[in-house]
Amino acid sequence: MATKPIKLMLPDFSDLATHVLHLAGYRTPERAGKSIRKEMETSVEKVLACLKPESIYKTTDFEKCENGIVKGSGLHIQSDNLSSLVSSLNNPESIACFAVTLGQDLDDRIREAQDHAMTQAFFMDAAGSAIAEIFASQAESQLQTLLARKNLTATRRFSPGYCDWDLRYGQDAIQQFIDLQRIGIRNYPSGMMIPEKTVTAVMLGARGAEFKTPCPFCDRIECPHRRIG
Amino acid sequence: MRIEDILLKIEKGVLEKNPESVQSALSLPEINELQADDLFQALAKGLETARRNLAADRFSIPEFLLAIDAFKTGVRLLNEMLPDFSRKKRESRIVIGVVEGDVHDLGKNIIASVLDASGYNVFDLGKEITCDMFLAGIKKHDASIAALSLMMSTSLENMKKIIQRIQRDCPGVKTLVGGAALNQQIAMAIGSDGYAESALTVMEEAERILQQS
Repeated sequence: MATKPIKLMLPDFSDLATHVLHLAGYRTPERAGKSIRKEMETSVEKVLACLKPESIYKTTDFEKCENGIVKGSGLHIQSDNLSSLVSSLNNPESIACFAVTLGQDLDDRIREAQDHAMTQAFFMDAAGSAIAEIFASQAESQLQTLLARKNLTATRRFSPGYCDWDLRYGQDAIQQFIDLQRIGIRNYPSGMMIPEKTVTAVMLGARGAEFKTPCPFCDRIECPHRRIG
Repeated sequence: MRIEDILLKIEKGVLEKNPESVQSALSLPEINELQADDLFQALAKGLETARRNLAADRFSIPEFLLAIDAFKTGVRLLNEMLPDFSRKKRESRIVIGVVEGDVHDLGKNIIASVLDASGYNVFDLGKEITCDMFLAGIKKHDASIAALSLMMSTSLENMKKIIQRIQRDCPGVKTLVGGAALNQQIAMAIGSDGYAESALTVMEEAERILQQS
């Protein structure tokens, strides 16, 4: 199947500001004083001014799951944990893969800010992370809808570096499957992606899914990223 | 304005995270009657109080960074007003860099700022620093501490190898690690002398490892 873009919508400024303050360590926005809020809002405005978001997704048929590898046409995901989830699905049929990125300009502006205004760089980085996560959630939601139109239930998004999906091999697999360079994403040998505010993930579509994440099959109860449901 | 009040205004300007107030104080005509060291000490006092506020949870990290921004504004102005002015720094020298395979450097830059503002001679090697680059930096700057930063766990093995080489080729140089990929346990497992969890703890950890024999 050909690659297509995902529709991304910028979050409401006030919601984004709350999210950014939370990432910066403030449990509630009210705990941040006036000077901090002003600094944060200026930083968020700078981020919004230089955003160049891009997105892409592609789906493929699910083929099989064996020896800890989830195989689709053109895409192999090596993860025992994800394999356990797939084995619990009722007739998996489709694998969807997406990437969202905020663009190189933001990385450059954050770098420039570090030279003279470290606080601004700090908030710009937090805002970038917040927006990337919001866009990833939007992508996940749209792909859930897309799969639902085919009467398929979607699993939650699963990214390279999660659980036992090796970051390097995972990003390479996605890069080869989607050709992320089309939207300006490059991979480092370490598995790092440039631009830095980039999220990639896969989701499975099945006729039925009692579980939607690999977490119920994992022993690491203390994992901070554990998701049930 | 009295001399004491000017110094207090400078100190408060840093503590209250107000670069404009620091700038205004340093623009007063009476400044010419003050020694550069006294002016710098006022800036440093404000920053030290800000750091204690951070330790006591009265300041957040962003507030502490704002105080550092105000401090740096003051230092920049001092350097412009008095080109011969040279800050008294601690004896210890620190080289800092992001390990090869990683380019995330915001955290490293924040730590470098904190250490610099606290009086250390900090030599920032940049990002994607190989073992040879760390060793060259240590020798060039006669460093007492090599601070290695890492956000990505995939480069942990690189970090471990760099630490081993430093211990072999530069005995006496202490290693200090930090970054999202690390915790105390991992830092010890890869052989680092110290672990800096955040801007809050890096100062004490640097002092602790320097005191190790």
